[in-house]
This record gives sequence, structure tokens and C-alpha cells, in this order.
Amino acid sequence: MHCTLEQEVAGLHQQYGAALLRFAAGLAGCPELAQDALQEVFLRYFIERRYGREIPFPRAWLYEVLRNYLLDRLKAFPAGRQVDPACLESLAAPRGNPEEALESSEAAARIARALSPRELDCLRLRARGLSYNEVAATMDIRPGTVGALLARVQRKLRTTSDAFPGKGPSVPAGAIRYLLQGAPIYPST
Amino acid sequence: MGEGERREADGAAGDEMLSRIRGAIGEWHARQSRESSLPAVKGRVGREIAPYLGPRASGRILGTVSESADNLLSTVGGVMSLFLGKRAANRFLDHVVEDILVRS
Repeated sequence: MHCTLEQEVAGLHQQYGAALLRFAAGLAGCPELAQDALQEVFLRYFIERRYGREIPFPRAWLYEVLRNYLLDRLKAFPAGRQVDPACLESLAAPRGNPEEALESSEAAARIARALSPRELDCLRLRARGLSYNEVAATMDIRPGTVGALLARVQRKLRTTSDAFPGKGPSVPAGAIRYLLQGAPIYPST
Repeated sequence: MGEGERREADGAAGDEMLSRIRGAIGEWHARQSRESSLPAVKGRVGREIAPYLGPRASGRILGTVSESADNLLSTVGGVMSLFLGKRAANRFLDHVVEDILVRS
């Protein structure tokens, strides 16, 4: 049985591991913490299945547990977000044009300030390809609430895009990429 | 880095992560064998559900759990759902998993 379970874990890791790791890295801002979190989450999945827990939506379950684990770990940090000095060397250097990267980072920070933590969570999960039902299961809210949150995000992004002079009506793609995948700009609570 | 090289790097990183996960599972198994027995795990779970169901009912329910305990959570979860509702029962199971199964 345990062999089959290990195969189940390996299969899920193959399907979702890379995306989960990117999600964790975006939330954690530290590759080491993201990897620790991913390890813990898959171990937990194995243990729960070992003792017979039904997990009908594995992908949503993995995102939910990963998110909750990281939020708990991040609460242990002092007020505001800090990066563990041990992680500094592994923070990716800006790709491409450093000026563009800085602009994207600042734009992403403006967007993040405009969004509530729940809205940012919802945006990140949806951007990972989760369905409304999966986002709802992960955040423990109703699917209708997911729709409402994303509608609010859209309205806020449209408002925020007015603050990007010379960029036209839409939010710069680099800012969105940075927001979803880059270094921590999660507003401190 | 080209697309092919990136995929290779991602693949290598993925393999490494999977090894870590397998290692963690192996360590958990070893800890289980050393430090706790299945009867002890069932006993601890019984103490958690007794305040809701009473000690006799808890004993009867845990009596239906297999020797390998591979239906422990589905059995307990099913009964607790009837008393607490699905959402609260899930929260209860999360607590059982965290405090008894993961940490033991």
C-alpha cells in the first residue's frame, strides 16, 4: 500500500510540483523556505492518505495546505516582511534590463498595496490555473466569492493602471509577472 | 539559458525535490516504528473524539478501524461529520493529523 501511495505522491509532484514551488516562492520570498514548505506539504499528503483521508481535489488541497503552512511560518517573522540573510544569495538577479525589472517591481508593489491580502491570494491562485471551485476550496470561501474578489481585483487593476503614465490603459505585463512570481511584495499585516 | 537547458534544469530540480520528499517520508516511517505503535495512535485519537461521542462510542468506532489503521481518518471523519458538520469535522481531522499523526 505504501508503495502505491508513494507512487501517488510522486505522480502529484510530477504534475503540480513545479507550479506549487513557484507559488510557494512567490509567497515566501525565499527559495529555501519554499522548498521546505513543499516537502512538508507532500509529506502531510502522504500521511493523511496513509491513514485513509479522502482528498477529492488533490491540487486544491496541496495549494491550501501550502498556503496555510507558509502563512503560519511567515507570521513568525517580525512585523513587516524580511528576507532571511541565508536566502540573499539565492534571490534571483533581475533578468534582462535592470531598469525594467526595477520598474516592474515598483509597479508590482503599487498593485499589491492596492489589493487586500485575500484579493492577492485569489489572483495568485487563479493565475496558477486553478478553477473557481479549486480557488474556493483552497481559500475556504464560496465560488461566488472568488468571482467577486476577482471582479474587485480587475476594477482595482484598472484604477491602478491610471498610475502608469505612458503605459496605456493596461497594467504592464512585467508588473503582473513580478507580482505573481517574483520577490516578496506581499503587504505586511 | 535555452529552453532545452531550462527544462533540463527544472527536471533536475524536480528530481531533487522528489528525493527530499521521499527522504522525509522514509524518516517519518522510521520515527513511527521507533516511537509509536498503531494502538497508541488509536488510543490518542480515541481521547480526542471521546469528548464529542463519549468513551464507549469512541471505543466502538475505533474498534471498526483496521489493524493497519488505513481507514482511521475516513472512519473518524465520517462519524464526526454527522455530529459537527463537514466543515468542522474537516477542521477536527486537521487537528488530529497535525497533533497526533504528523508529530508522532
